[in-house]
Amino acid sequence: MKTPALLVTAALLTLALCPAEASAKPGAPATPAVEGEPKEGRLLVVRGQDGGEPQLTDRKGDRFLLTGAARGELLRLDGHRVKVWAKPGPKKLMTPTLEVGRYEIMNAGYGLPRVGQLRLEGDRLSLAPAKGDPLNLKAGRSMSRKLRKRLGCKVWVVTRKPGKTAARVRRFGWLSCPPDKPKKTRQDPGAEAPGTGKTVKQTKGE
Amino acid sequence: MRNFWTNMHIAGAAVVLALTFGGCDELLGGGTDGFGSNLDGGGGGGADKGAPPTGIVTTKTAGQTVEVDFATGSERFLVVPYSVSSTAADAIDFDITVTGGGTGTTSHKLRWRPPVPLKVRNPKLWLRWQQRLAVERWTRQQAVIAAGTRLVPLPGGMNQPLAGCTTSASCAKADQVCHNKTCVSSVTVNVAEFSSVGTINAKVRKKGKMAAVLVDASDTVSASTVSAILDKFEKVIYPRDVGLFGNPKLSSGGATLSTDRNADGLVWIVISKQVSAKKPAVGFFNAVDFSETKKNSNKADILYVDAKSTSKLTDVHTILAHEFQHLLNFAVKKYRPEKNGQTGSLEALWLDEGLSHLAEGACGFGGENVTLLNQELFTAMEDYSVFFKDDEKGNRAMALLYLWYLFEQKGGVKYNSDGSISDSGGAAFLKALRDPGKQGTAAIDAAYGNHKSAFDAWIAAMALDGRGVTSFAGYNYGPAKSDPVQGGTIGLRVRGTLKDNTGASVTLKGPLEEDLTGATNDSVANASARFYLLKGKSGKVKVKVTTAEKDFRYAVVKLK
Repeated sequence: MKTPALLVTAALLTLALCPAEASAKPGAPATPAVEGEPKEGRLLVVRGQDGGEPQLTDRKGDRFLLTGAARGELLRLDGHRVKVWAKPGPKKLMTPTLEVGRYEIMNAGYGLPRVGQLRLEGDRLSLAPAKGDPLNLKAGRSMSRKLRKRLGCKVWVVTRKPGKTAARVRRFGWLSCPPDKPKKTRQDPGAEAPGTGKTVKQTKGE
Repeated sequence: MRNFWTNMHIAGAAVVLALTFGGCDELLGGGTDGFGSNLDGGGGGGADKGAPPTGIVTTKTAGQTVEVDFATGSERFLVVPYSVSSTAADAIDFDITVTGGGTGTTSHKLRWRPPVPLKVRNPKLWLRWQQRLAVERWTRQQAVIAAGTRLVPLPGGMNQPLAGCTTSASCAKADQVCHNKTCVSSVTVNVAEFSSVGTINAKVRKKGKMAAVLVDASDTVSASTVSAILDKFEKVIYPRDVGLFGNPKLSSGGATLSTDRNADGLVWIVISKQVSAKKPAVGFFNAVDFSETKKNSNKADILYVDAKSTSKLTDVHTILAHEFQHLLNFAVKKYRPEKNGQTGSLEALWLDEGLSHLAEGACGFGGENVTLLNQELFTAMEDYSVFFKDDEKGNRAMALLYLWYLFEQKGGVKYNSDGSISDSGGAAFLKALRDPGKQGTAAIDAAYGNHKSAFDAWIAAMALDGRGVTSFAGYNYGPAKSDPVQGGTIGLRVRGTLKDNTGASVTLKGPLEEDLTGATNDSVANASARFYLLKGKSGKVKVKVTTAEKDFRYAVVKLK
C-alpha cells in the first residue's frame, strides 16, 4: 500500500521541483519517428527547400541538414542552439542529413526557453507545456499583442526571473500553428487581425 | 596588407565614434562606458570617409544611460532601440525610460501616415509578388534536389563538349549552339520539374558572346523581343552580376567558368510558356539543371523566362538580374567546390535573397526594391529582420538595405559605359562572401568585419540618411549614380525620391517613427530596430533602454 503512495509523492515532487525542465523539453513531435544519438549545434536556415533548409553545425564544424517531422519547427529556430536526437539519413545537398526524432532548444537567445501551447485563460495568457503545470505569462503591451496573435500555437518563450507559476516574457517565437493561423511573421496590413475576419494564409501555392 | 590596414582604419573609426557625444562622455566619465568599450570591435567599412562628426550619434548597450541636452528646447533626437542578434525571435521585450526635461504627453503618435498597403494600392503587383515569392520557394527546393544528387561527373567523364564542337562560339551559324558535341539549331529541354509536358523543343533564336536565347517552338516571341532580352543580358546583366559577385574558372588553369555547366561558353536563356505552367512566374533558375544524376537535369546553365511575361521587358530584365545572382551563387559556392573535391555550401537564406535584390538594383532594375521599402519595410520595420528566416518581402527589403550599405561602405563600384564595372572595393566585398566555408553572418564577419558593429553603423545611417544633418558618408547612403548604359540612376535611399517599378517617383520617408515623451514598453524582432522621436523637452534629459537581452543596443541620434 505504501508503494503507490510513494510513487505519487515522488511524481508530485518531480513536477514541483522540475517545471522548467519539463517545459523546456520542447519540440517533440506528437509521434517521434526516430530516436538516435544526440547531436548539439547551431541552426542556420540556408537556401534550400520550401522556406529554406535547417542546417545544424555541430561543435566540430560538421554540417548536417535536418529532416523529419520536426523540420518545419526547426526552420523557425534560425540561430538557436539545439540538441537533436536523430538518425543519419541519405545525403542531401551533398551533405549528411539527420532525420530528427525529437529536439530540444538549448539556447533561444540568452536563455533556456519554455515551450508549450499558448493559451488564453480568462483574460490571461498562459503557456501549457507538454508536461507539467501551465505557466501564467506576463507581458508588456507590445509583447502581449504579439503573443495574442499566436494563441493556440506552439511557441517558445524566454522569461525574466522565472517563477513557478508566472513569469514575464522577454523573448518569444512561434514554432507551429494550427492551420487557421497565419504563417507570416507579420500580418499583412491589408488584412484583418486573426480571429476577427479573414486571415492571410501563406500557402505553398500562393 | 590591405585588409590589415582596413581593419586598423575601422578600429580607429570605432574609437572616434566612442567619443562622439560630448554629453554622454560627461555623464559616463570620459567614455569608459562608451561605444568602443562595450560594442564589438573590428567592424566598419573600408571606404576612406574620414572621421564621423562629433555629437550626432551615440550608441550604447542596453542598460546604459545617455543624457541629451535640450538647451534651446527645439532639439530633436531619435532614440533607436535595436537587436543585433542573429538568433531568431518574433519579439524581444524592452523598456525605455525618459527622465527630466519636463513633462509631456505619454501618447505614442505616428509621425507619418503609412502608405496604403500594396495589396490595396496595387493588387496586381501585390499578386505578382506573392507569385514571385512562391516561385522562388520552389526554385530553392530545386536547389536542394540538385545538390542532393551528383553535381560532378564520374572520373573520366568531365563535361567537355568534344567532337563536332567545343563551344557554342565554334558553331558558325548564328542560330546554333554546341549541344552534346554537336552544333544544333534546336535543343530538347527537359521541363518536367515544372511542367507536365515533360520536354519542349527550344529553337536557338540568337546567340551572343555570353548567352543564347532559345524559344519554345510552340511559343511566339518576336525577333525584336529576343534581341532586347539578349542585348540587355549581355550588355548589362551579365557583366554587372559577374563583376559584382565573380565567376571564377571552374578549376585552376582551366578555361571553363564556374557557371558554365555544359561548358559551351554561354548561359542559355530558355523562353517558354511552360515556365508558368504550374505556378505563375516571370522566370527562375532551376538548380536541378546542375545535377549530374537527376533524371530531369539538363546538365546546363539555364535561366528560364515565361513566354507570356516577355511583353513586359523590364520585369524580364529584373528577374534575370535576380536569378543570375542565384545561379552564380550556387555555381561558385556549391558547385565549384564540390567539383574540386571540397565541401560547398548553400548560402544563408537572408544573404542569398538580399544579394539577388542588390543585383537587381545594381543592374538598374531597382524599381521593385523601392516599392518593397516604401510599402512593406518602412511601415513596420520592427517586425522585420535583416537576418531573416521567413522569406517575406519586408525581410528581403531589410536585408537589401543592410547589404547595400555595407557594399557602399566598402567603396561600391563605378558603372562603366561599356556595361562593365570598376571595383572600388564593393565588388571585392561581395566576392569575398562566396567563401564556401562561411555562411550568413559568418560570411559578413569574414568579408566585411564584425556584423554587429556593421549593424551599429547601419542603424546610424538608417536614422540619418537623407535628413541633411551631416554629409558624413558613414551616416548616409551614397548619392545615386548615373547608369551610363541605361540612362537611369542606381542607388538606394532611406529618405528621398526614387522611382519604383512603374516609373513613378516615390518619396521615401524612412522607417515609421513614434513620438517618445515618457516611459515606453515595446518589442522588436531580432536583428531589427524601432524608431522614436524625442522632442519638446527642456534642459538635461536622461534616456535609458533596458532589456534582459544581450546583443541589444540603442542609438541616440541628434537630428537638430
